[in-house]
Amino acid sequence: MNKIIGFLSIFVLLILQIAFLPHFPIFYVFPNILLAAIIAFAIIRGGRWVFVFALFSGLALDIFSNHAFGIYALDFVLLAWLIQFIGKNIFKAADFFGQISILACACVIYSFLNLFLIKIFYWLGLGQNISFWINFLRVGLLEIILNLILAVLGLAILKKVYGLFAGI
Amino acid sequence: MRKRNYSKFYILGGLVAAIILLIFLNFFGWLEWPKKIFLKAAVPILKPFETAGRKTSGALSVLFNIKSVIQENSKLRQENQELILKISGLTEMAQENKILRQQLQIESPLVSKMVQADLIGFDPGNIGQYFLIGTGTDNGVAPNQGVILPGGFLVGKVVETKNNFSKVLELTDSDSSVFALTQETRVGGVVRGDHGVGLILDMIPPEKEIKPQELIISSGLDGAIPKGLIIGQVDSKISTESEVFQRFKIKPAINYNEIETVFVVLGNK
Repeated sequence: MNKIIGFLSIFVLLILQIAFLPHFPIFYVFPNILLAAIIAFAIIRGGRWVFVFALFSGLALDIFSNHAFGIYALDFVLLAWLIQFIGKNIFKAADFFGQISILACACVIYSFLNLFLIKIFYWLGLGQNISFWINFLRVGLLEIILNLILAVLGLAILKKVYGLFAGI
Repeated sequence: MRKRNYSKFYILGGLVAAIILLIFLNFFGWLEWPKKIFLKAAVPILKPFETAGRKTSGALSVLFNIKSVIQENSKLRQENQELILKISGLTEMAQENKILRQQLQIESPLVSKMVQADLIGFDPGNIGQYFLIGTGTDNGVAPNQGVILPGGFLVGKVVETKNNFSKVLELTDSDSSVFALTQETRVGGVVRGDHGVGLILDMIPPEKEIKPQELIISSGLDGAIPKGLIIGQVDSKISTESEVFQRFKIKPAINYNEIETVFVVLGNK
């Protein structure tokens, strides 16, 4: 049942990401709500299902994205793994500062990985070419900040939701 | 503990392998039917969310920019009066043109067949200026067809189509380029996107002169994009004297954030 709710939530977040959020850009940049959800879920729950949700979210975004198919899926799955790795080996995922540090790392890694994968796919003959540094400076830096804010909010909401269910 | 870490490695490896397999399957077009099923479920839901987003952002922008809205309103009223005068003159000319065509027995210009489409969403990322429309191959939409706004304003071109939706590349995207013409001086060039924030008129020979505020229209050399569609207005020259070609900054004729309904030019009737 929880898994079905998880998939439905991802579907709703996908719709919000495609149709609703782009109407609220800040300097032409808007955050990724699915990324925020995956990061928050990976920190709070972890486990194998994070990978499944990351894969599903990534593939769904890939269908609507104009970049080569598979970029978001790879980005999200690698990120889900890295978050769990960082949470176990570098920062303590249980305390507040540890969680914020993991969130910040995840947002930075996502932006770099996204641009890097677009470049790699282009070299493999898939998708278009982009200028890495121009896009990182024009979009990436602000994207990191916006994603971080959204991920912190996502983490707080997810904690409340889990707290609520734990109480029941 | 060590065993658990290894299993995480296996999961990651398995998933990456699965994604690579999916990329191959997609490359050979074998993922079309699962995509179709997914899009059939998702596309009808997108439009209400898109409308809600546009209305909310519109309401918020009015709230935050009430002073500039009042100023803009009075400026638009003045522009409106000037345009009414222009329209009256152009209607007379169109009538004269029609009579002359009849007298000289010249055929009317070709009329393009079009299909209306609603904007249903945007590219999920920030790199690239694309939007999604709720019409696709079922209605005859194909890649490279021009996308316009009512009134003949060029928005961009179709880059990918599925049964019930298509991806449209905006003119302002860095990958976009359209053959264009200055309306008065009739100088041909190429309009390119400027990283999603504006337009640049490029490839203008150094000896040619372009008037300030001149209108830029499509030249029709792109094939699927008809001639005479409005692209924007010349803003300022940005090239230096040492450059081989002249480049001009173009003020886009439309506000891409306000697009709601577009027309896809399917071809000539």
